[in-house]
Amino acid sequence: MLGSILHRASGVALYAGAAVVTVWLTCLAAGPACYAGFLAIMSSPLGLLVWAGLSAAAFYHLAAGVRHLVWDLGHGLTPRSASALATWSIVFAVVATAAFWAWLFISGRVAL
Amino acid sequence: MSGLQTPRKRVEGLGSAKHGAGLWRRERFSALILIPLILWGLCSAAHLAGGGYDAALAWLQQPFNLVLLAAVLAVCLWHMEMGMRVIIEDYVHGTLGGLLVLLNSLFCWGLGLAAAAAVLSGVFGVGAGVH
Repeated sequence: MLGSILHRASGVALYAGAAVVTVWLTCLAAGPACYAGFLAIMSSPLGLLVWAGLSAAAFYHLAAGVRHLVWDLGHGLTPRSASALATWSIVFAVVATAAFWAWLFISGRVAL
Repeated sequence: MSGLQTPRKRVEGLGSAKHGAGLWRRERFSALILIPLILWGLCSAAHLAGGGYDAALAWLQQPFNLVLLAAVLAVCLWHMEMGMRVIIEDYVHGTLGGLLVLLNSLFCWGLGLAAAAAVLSGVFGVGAGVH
Protein backbone atom coordinates (compact mmCIF):
# COMPACT_ATOMS: atom_id res chain seq x y z
CA MET A 1 0.00 0.00 0.00
CA LEU A 2 2.67 2.47 1.11
CA GLY A 3 4.89 1.24 -1.71
CA SER A 4 2.19 1.94 -4.27
CA ILE A 5 1.42 5.43 -2.92
CA LEU A 6 5.13 6.26 -2.86
CA HIS A 7 5.44 5.08 -6.47
CA ARG A 8 2.81 7.62 -7.53
CA ALA A 9 4.15 10.38 -5.29
CA SER A 10 7.70 9.90 -6.56
CA GLY A 11 6.39 9.88 -10.12
CA VAL A 12 4.67 13.22 -9.55
CA ALA A 13 7.86 14.60 -7.96
CA LEU A 14 9.88 13.47 -11.00
CA TYR A 15 7.29 15.16 -13.23
CA ALA A 16 8.29 18.43 -11.54
CA GLY A 17 11.92 17.30 -11.76
CA ALA A 18 11.67 17.14 -15.55
CA ALA A 19 10.67 20.81 -15.47
CA VAL A 20 13.71 21.62 -13.29
CA VAL A 21 16.01 19.82 -15.74
CA THR A 22 14.43 21.73 -18.64
CA VAL A 23 15.03 25.03 -16.79
CA TRP A 24 18.65 23.92 -16.22
CA LEU A 25 19.11 23.28 -19.96
CA THR A 26 17.43 26.56 -20.87
CA CYS A 27 19.72 28.49 -18.51
CA LEU A 28 22.73 26.67 -19.96
CA ALA A 29 21.64 27.72 -23.46
CA ALA A 30 20.89 31.29 -22.32
CA GLY A 31 24.49 31.92 -21.29
CA PRO A 32 26.85 32.26 -18.30
CA ALA A 33 24.87 34.94 -16.47
CA CYS A 34 21.61 32.98 -16.50
CA TYR A 35 23.46 29.78 -15.61
CA ALA A 36 25.13 31.46 -12.61
CA GLY A 37 21.69 32.52 -11.40
CA PHE A 38 20.38 28.97 -11.72
CA LEU A 39 23.41 27.58 -9.85
CA ALA A 40 23.04 30.17 -7.08
CA ILE A 41 19.45 29.08 -6.45
CA MET A 42 19.95 25.34 -6.91
CA SER A 43 23.15 25.11 -4.82
CA SER A 44 21.55 26.92 -1.87
CA PRO A 45 20.45 24.70 1.03
CA LEU A 46 16.88 24.83 -0.27
CA GLY A 47 18.04 23.98 -3.79
CA LEU A 48 20.09 21.05 -2.49
CA LEU A 49 16.99 19.85 -0.64
CA VAL A 50 15.11 19.88 -3.96
CA TRP A 51 17.90 17.87 -5.65
CA ALA A 52 18.02 15.47 -2.70
CA GLY A 53 14.27 14.93 -2.93
CA LEU A 54 14.46 14.41 -6.69
CA SER A 55 17.31 11.89 -6.39
CA ALA A 56 15.40 9.98 -3.68
CA ALA A 57 12.29 10.02 -5.89
CA ALA A 58 14.34 8.76 -8.85
CA PHE A 59 15.90 5.89 -6.88
CA TYR A 60 12.56 4.90 -5.36
CA HIS A 61 10.60 5.14 -8.62
CA LEU A 62 13.32 3.08 -10.31
CA ALA A 63 13.16 0.33 -7.67
CA ALA A 64 9.35 0.34 -7.56
CA GLY A 65 9.24 0.25 -11.36
CA VAL A 66 11.52 -2.78 -11.45
CA ARG A 67 9.22 -4.33 -8.81
CA HIS A 68 6.27 -3.85 -11.19
CA LEU A 69 8.22 -5.41 -14.06
CA VAL A 70 9.01 -8.40 -11.82
CA TRP A 71 5.28 -8.74 -11.07
CA ASP A 72 4.47 -8.46 -14.78
CA LEU A 73 6.73 -11.46 -15.36
CA GLY A 74 4.56 -13.37 -12.91
CA HIS A 75 6.97 -13.44 -9.98
CA GLY A 76 6.64 -12.21 -6.40
CA LEU A 77 2.84 -12.08 -6.45
CA THR A 78 2.10 -13.68 -3.06
CA PRO A 79 1.14 -11.11 -0.37
CA ARG A 80 4.28 -12.00 1.56
CA SER A 81 6.74 -11.55 -1.31
CA ALA A 82 4.88 -8.47 -2.60
CA SER A 83 5.37 -6.81 0.80
CA ALA A 84 9.01 -7.89 0.84
CA LEU A 85 9.55 -6.32 -2.60
CA ALA A 86 7.96 -3.07 -1.37
CA THR A 87 10.21 -3.03 1.70
CA TRP A 88 13.30 -3.70 -0.39
CA SER A 89 12.37 -0.90 -2.81
CA ILE A 90 12.26 1.56 0.10
CA VAL A 91 15.51 0.20 1.56
CA PHE A 92 17.20 0.49 -1.84
CA ALA A 93 16.00 4.09 -2.29
CA VAL A 94 17.26 5.12 1.16
CA VAL A 95 20.65 3.41 0.79
CA ALA A 96 21.21 4.58 -2.82
CA THR A 97 20.23 8.18 -2.00
CA ALA A 98 22.51 8.22 1.06
CA ALA A 99 25.42 6.74 -0.93
CA PHE A 100 24.84 9.17 -3.81
CA TRP A 101 24.94 12.21 -1.53
CA ALA A 102 27.78 10.88 0.61
CA TRP A 103 29.86 10.60 -2.57
CA LEU A 104 28.84 14.11 -3.70
CA PHE A 105 29.90 15.63 -0.36
CA ILE A 106 33.05 13.54 0.12
CA SER A 107 34.30 14.24 -3.41
CA GLY A 108 33.77 17.94 -2.72
CA ARG A 109 31.35 18.45 -5.62
CA VAL A 110 28.66 19.67 -3.28
CA ALA A 111 29.06 21.68 -0.08
CA LEU A 112 26.64 23.28 2.31
CA MET B 1 -33.67 -7.37 -21.70
CA SER B 2 -29.95 -7.59 -21.81
CA GLY B 3 -30.20 -10.59 -19.52
CA LEU B 4 -31.47 -12.61 -22.44
CA GLN B 5 -28.37 -11.83 -24.50
CA THR B 6 -25.20 -13.83 -24.39
CA PRO B 7 -22.08 -11.92 -23.28
CA ARG B 8 -20.75 -12.19 -26.80
CA LYS B 9 -23.93 -10.71 -28.29
CA ARG B 10 -23.69 -7.76 -25.88
CA VAL B 11 -20.20 -6.70 -27.00
CA GLU B 12 -20.55 -7.53 -30.67
CA GLY B 13 -20.24 -4.53 -32.93
CA LEU B 14 -18.83 -2.29 -30.20
CA GLY B 15 -15.46 -2.10 -31.90
CA SER B 16 -12.13 -3.83 -31.91
CA ALA B 17 -10.43 -4.71 -28.66
CA LYS B 18 -7.19 -5.63 -30.35
CA HIS B 19 -5.27 -2.53 -29.21
CA GLY B 20 -6.46 -2.62 -25.60
CA ALA B 21 -3.04 -3.63 -24.32
CA GLY B 22 -1.27 -0.82 -26.16
CA LEU B 23 -0.96 1.62 -23.26
CA TRP B 24 0.08 -1.14 -20.89
CA ARG B 25 2.78 -2.24 -23.32
CA ARG B 26 4.05 1.31 -23.88
CA GLU B 27 4.29 1.90 -20.12
CA ARG B 28 6.39 -1.24 -19.65
CA PHE B 29 8.49 -0.64 -22.74
CA SER B 30 9.37 2.92 -21.73
CA ALA B 31 10.03 1.77 -18.13
CA LEU B 32 12.44 -0.88 -19.38
CA ILE B 33 14.38 1.59 -21.54
CA LEU B 34 14.48 4.07 -18.66
CA ILE B 35 16.31 1.68 -16.29
CA PRO B 36 19.75 2.16 -17.93
CA LEU B 37 18.96 5.71 -19.09
CA ILE B 38 18.03 7.03 -15.63
CA LEU B 39 21.11 5.43 -14.07
CA TRP B 40 23.20 7.20 -16.70
CA GLY B 41 21.29 10.43 -15.95
CA LEU B 42 22.03 10.16 -12.22
CA CYS B 43 25.73 9.46 -12.93
CA SER B 44 25.81 12.48 -15.26
CA ALA B 45 24.14 14.68 -12.65
CA ALA B 46 26.78 13.63 -10.10
CA HIS B 47 29.52 14.28 -12.68
CA LEU B 48 28.15 17.75 -13.48
CA ALA B 49 27.54 18.76 -9.86
CA GLY B 50 29.96 21.39 -8.67
CA GLY B 51 31.15 22.15 -12.20
CA GLY B 52 30.43 25.52 -13.72
CA TYR B 53 29.02 26.79 -16.98
CA ASP B 54 32.00 25.80 -19.15
CA ALA B 55 32.10 22.25 -17.81
CA ALA B 56 28.36 21.79 -18.36
CA LEU B 57 28.51 23.18 -21.91
CA ALA B 58 31.55 21.01 -22.76
CA TRP B 59 29.68 17.99 -21.39
CA LEU B 60 26.59 18.78 -23.48
CA GLN B 61 28.69 19.15 -26.64
CA GLN B 62 30.01 15.58 -26.41
CA PRO B 63 28.00 13.65 -29.05
CA PHE B 64 27.61 10.64 -26.72
CA ASN B 65 26.11 12.81 -23.97
CA LEU B 66 23.95 14.73 -26.43
CA VAL B 67 22.37 11.59 -27.86
CA LEU B 68 21.77 9.99 -24.46
CA LEU B 69 20.39 13.24 -23.02
CA ALA B 70 17.96 13.52 -25.93
CA ALA B 71 16.96 9.89 -25.39
CA VAL B 72 16.50 10.22 -21.64
CA LEU B 73 14.41 13.39 -22.08
CA ALA B 74 12.23 11.91 -24.82
CA VAL B 75 11.55 8.62 -23.02
CA CYS B 76 11.07 10.35 -19.63
CA LEU B 77 8.52 12.77 -21.07
CA TRP B 78 6.74 9.93 -22.88
CA HIS B 79 6.67 7.84 -19.68
CA MET B 80 5.54 10.68 -17.41
CA GLU B 81 2.81 11.75 -19.82
CA MET B 82 1.36 8.22 -19.60
CA GLY B 83 1.87 8.04 -15.83
CA MET B 84 0.25 11.39 -15.05
CA ARG B 85 -2.62 10.52 -17.37
CA VAL B 86 -3.34 7.38 -15.34
CA ILE B 87 -3.28 9.38 -12.10
CA ILE B 88 -5.66 12.02 -13.51
CA GLU B 89 -8.03 9.36 -14.85
CA ASP B 90 -8.06 7.68 -11.43
CA TYR B 91 -8.98 10.78 -9.41
CA VAL B 92 -10.60 13.36 -11.71
CA HIS B 93 -13.64 12.53 -13.81
CA GLY B 94 -15.82 14.37 -16.29
CA THR B 95 -14.94 17.49 -18.25
CA LEU B 96 -12.28 18.63 -15.79
CA GLY B 97 -10.55 15.27 -16.06
CA GLY B 98 -10.51 15.48 -19.84
CA LEU B 99 -9.15 19.02 -19.65
CA LEU B 100 -6.39 17.96 -17.26
CA VAL B 101 -5.41 15.06 -19.53
CA LEU B 102 -5.12 17.54 -22.38
CA LEU B 103 -3.10 20.00 -20.26
CA ASN B 104 -0.84 17.13 -19.20
CA SER B 105 -0.07 16.30 -22.83
CA LEU B 106 0.51 19.96 -23.67
CA PHE B 107 2.83 20.37 -20.68
CA CYS B 108 4.92 17.33 -21.62
CA TRP B 109 5.15 18.39 -25.26
CA GLY B 110 6.03 21.92 -24.18
CA LEU B 111 8.83 20.70 -21.91
CA GLY B 112 10.14 18.50 -24.71
CA LEU B 113 10.17 21.34 -27.23
CA ALA B 114 11.77 23.77 -24.74
CA ALA B 115 14.45 21.22 -23.85
CA ALA B 116 15.10 20.45 -27.52
CA ALA B 117 15.43 24.16 -28.33
CA ALA B 118 17.79 24.65 -25.38
CA VAL B 119 19.95 21.66 -26.31
CA LEU B 120 20.16 22.74 -29.96
CA SER B 121 21.10 26.30 -29.12
CA GLY B 122 23.58 25.08 -26.48
CA VAL B 123 25.27 22.70 -28.88
CA PHE B 124 25.19 24.61 -32.13
CA GLY B 125 25.42 28.06 -30.63
CA VAL B 126 22.15 29.25 -32.13
CA GLY B 127 21.55 32.56 -30.41
CA ALA B 128 25.12 32.72 -29.09
CA GLY B 129 26.12 36.35 -28.70
CA VAL B 130 22.58 37.47 -28.06
CA HIS B 131 23.33 38.06 -24.39
